[in-house]
Amino acid sequence: MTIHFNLDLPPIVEFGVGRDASDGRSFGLVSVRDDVQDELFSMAKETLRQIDQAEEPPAAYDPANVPSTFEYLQLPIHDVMASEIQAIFNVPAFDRDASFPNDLSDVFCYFALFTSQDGSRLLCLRRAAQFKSLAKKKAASLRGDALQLVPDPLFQLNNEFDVLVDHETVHIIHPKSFSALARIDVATAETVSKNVKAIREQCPYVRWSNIEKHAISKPSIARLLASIRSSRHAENVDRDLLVGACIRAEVPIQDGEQIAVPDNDIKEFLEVLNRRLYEVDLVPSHPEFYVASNRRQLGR
Amino acid sequence: MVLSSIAPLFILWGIRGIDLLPWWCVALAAFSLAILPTVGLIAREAIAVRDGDTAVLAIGAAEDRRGDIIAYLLALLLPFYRDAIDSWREFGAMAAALVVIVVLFYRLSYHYINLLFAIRGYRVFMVHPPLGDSDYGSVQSFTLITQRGGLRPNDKILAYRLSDTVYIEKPS
Repeated sequence: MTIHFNLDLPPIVEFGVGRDASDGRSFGLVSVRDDVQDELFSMAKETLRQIDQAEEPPAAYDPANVPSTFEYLQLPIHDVMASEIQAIFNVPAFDRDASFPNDLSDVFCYFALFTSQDGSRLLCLRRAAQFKSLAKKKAASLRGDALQLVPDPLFQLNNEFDVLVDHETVHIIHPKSFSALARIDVATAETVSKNVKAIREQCPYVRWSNIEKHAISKPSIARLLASIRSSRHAENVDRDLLVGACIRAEVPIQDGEQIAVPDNDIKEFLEVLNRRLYEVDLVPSHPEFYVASNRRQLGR
Repeated sequence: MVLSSIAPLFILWGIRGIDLLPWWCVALAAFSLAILPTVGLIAREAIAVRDGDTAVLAIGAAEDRRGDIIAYLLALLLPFYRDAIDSWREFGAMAAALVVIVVLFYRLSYHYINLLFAIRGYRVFMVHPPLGDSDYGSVQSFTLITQRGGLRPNDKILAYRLSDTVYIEKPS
């Protein structure tokens, strides 16, 4: 794991919240005292510690995977799926959040921006469910020997961040949160045409027109297309082997001048191409088929 | 900050006095108006330092606001527009003029011009943040009080926050 940021020296810490209102997202800074800055720094260090303890080397984020609670994944910051995160990271100057803490209804994340002495940045993001939860409740604290209600709203910081971002890489430890923070459904929907065009060049023998049409309205199809393209799963695919794989997986394709996929079977067809729908043949005369919500290619 | 900014005006007023009121009454009010907001400003700066209330400010473009000194000096001359204030009507007119000055200083962002900063060798810049390619960047200009002679585009400056639009550079 390589984070392009030196956490050995205390950096300058800025804190802010992200809002998702009807007119779009916005990100604004909120002033925090030294002790909160120290705690945010500790959160970043704890995130790094968890990353260091990850058993597997980091895989690339796959938008079609069912995200697990904890998994260390990476994504180049210039990847189209990280465009939302890149837009936040590249903000030269944030506004102040004037509505904090009076209006928390549309706060969806909080972030810490660390700036080192040499000017490099580390952006740390966390979804704000836990952060906001205490603010809606009544809390009491012990004053002397009696409990008293705390009049001010309280906010709860987490132990670690969901995502760390340096100038090269998005480091993800909570993929589900990353999907929401990065608006993966929006990113994959916006890139359907580009993804289909790239895949079509690799597999011109498939009729992609109805697949593209479906992908625009179905996020799961759009995610599969993004996964196939980013994983380069359409490269060097042999038409006959693809047809054979579909027949074995009982995906009802029509093998004519082009391979046509019925609308209802597009997802399964893409899962075959995405190495996600596979056959296990351990019981004689009883092949079994599985769909992998997540998988990893072995290096052999 | 506005009242602190025009503290010299109150001092001049206190020295000149108002014929309608006892001198000690005018002096007490004028010096209170001059000193208390300035003490408040010093306290605000001290709190920002104590809390580490800092921000990394990115410079897009910067304007030296020394030209605003003319407007500031004209406002300070208010007590000298008349020889003496010897009727309540003139006193009301003077008070109204003061309100106008306060509102204009606030609205036109002249409130950063402050003798306190000038004595400490600070200069004032109106800074426009860089317009990056991100949709989330700020377009809000802010005032930076610094001992630097000038600011260059893409400079990054660590500053204490006095308000959401006024910052004072952290001494290195």
